[in-house]
This record gives sequence, structure tokens and C-alpha cells, in this order.
Amino acid sequence: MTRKLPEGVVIHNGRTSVMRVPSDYGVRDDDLKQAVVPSDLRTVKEPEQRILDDLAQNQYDEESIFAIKLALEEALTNGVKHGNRNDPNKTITVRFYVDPRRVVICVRDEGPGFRPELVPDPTADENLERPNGRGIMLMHAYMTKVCYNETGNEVWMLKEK
Amino acid sequence: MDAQGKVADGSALSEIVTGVEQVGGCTVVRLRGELNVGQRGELERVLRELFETTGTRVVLDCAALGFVASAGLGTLVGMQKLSRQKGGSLCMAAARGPIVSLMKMTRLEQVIPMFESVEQAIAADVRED
Repeated sequence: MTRKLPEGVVIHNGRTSVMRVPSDYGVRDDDLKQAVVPSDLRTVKEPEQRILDDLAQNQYDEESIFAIKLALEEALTNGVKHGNRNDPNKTITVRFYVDPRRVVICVRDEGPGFRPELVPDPTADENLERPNGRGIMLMHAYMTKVCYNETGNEVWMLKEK
Repeated sequence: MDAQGKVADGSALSEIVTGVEQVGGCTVVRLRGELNVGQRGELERVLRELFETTGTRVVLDCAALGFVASAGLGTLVGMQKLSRQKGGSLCMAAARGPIVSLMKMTRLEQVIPMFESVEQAIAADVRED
């Protein structure tokens, strides 16, 4: 029988790890909701819609919804395409919290991680016409804080009103 | 886009191109909904077909476009390159505030000209003749 793991605890590649919200995000781990979905660009729409529903219930304006949706889609797309390399047998774990003043979102994939500081600046003249590579910059630009776990396969984002 | 992240008629996952029309020497492509990783393919297909005709000038009418993600930006950049190769052009018109801000933040308004209205885009294009 498979034992259900506590929320925030994940086993990837045989290793157990805990997804902990950064201490400066102003939210307790227990307050986060969680969704674990197959790594597919359609199925990740389900947790995305749950977060958008929570934003609507908390009366976020159009500009904030645009910003949070954009950062979230970039994180989900990165997780599915680059982290899990489009392998539908892997999963994406989303943890989130929404109140009228702040939004916390975490997206974790099962990939080997990456080093965000090595991603080239997409707004540099020489990169302006590249088709890819804007997702990380957009997450940082539209959210109040963005940070990664040590492996680089788990991103935590905070948006404050 | 409303608070649910959907377009007005609730069809966020429907086709993104709602019309293609010849106006004043330009081809106006009307968009709606979300230009993201799921919808970029259809827009790319429509634009590739249009740019097969040399010198086609495309104005994207973005009045009903609610959302653009980085995948959509990549498509716009790629199609702008293709338009140049084919002696044509691509511009955006009537984009909403958040999309205008996005284009400025990414500096892509330097790559893809943006106009406040379709009429202004067509008039500007004609003046280039």
C-alpha cells in the first residue's frame, strides 16, 4: 500500500525532500494548499485555475492577475518543458497561498535543476530577437520576490499588493 | 481578461485568431484570448501562410487579446523575422495596458512596432510606401 505523504514532502528519484516556504514570505507552511499533477501543459492548467479562482475571490485587479498569471505560467512551462523534459510520467507539484494582501506560489519539477544566474539577459541587444529565454526575467519582473531551492528545481514566488 | 483569466465569452482555450481581413493595403489579423504556449501554434500557422505572399503587411489587432506569455512573445519575434525575410512587416495595434507594459519591459516594442489603433497602424504602414 502506498502511504500518502504529508503536504510539502516529495520523493523524487528516491530522495525525500521538504518544500519549505521561505521565512521572509510571511506565510506558514501549514497555510499552503497543494496540487500534484502529471507533467503536461494541459493538466497544469488545473492548479493554475485554482489559483486564479482564489485571486478572483480575493478581488485582485486586472493588472495583478495578469502579473501573477504570467509568472505562474512561466514557472509551470519551465517545469514541464525544461525541468521534466515533457515526460508525462513525471509530476509537477504546486503549493500556493492567496489572501487579499499577498500571494505565494511554489512550483517544483522532478528535473536536475538549473542555475538561474546563468540564463542570459533577454533584454540585452544581442538577445532581443531570440525566440526563448524570457520566462525567468518575467517571473522576477512581475513578482515581489523569487527564489529557488539549492537544486534549482523548485521556485518560490511572492507577490505583495 | 476578467478576474478568472478568461476572455469575455469565457473561451480562453478557443482559437486565438478570430478574423483575417484586407484593409488599406494591410492584412489585419484579429486576435482574442491568450497567446501562450498552447495557442502560439495556431497564430504561427496563420502568419506563415500570410507571409508566403511576398510583401505582406500584417497588423495584429490585439484589442481582444487578454494575455501574452513568453512563448507568445517568442512567436511574435519569430514571425517578425520571417516577415522581414519575405519583404513584409508585422506590427501590433490596440493592445491593452498590461500587454503594452510587457512589450516595453522586454524591449520588444523596439522589434515589433506598436500602435494605439488599427487605423494608426495602417496609416503608418501606408506612409512607408
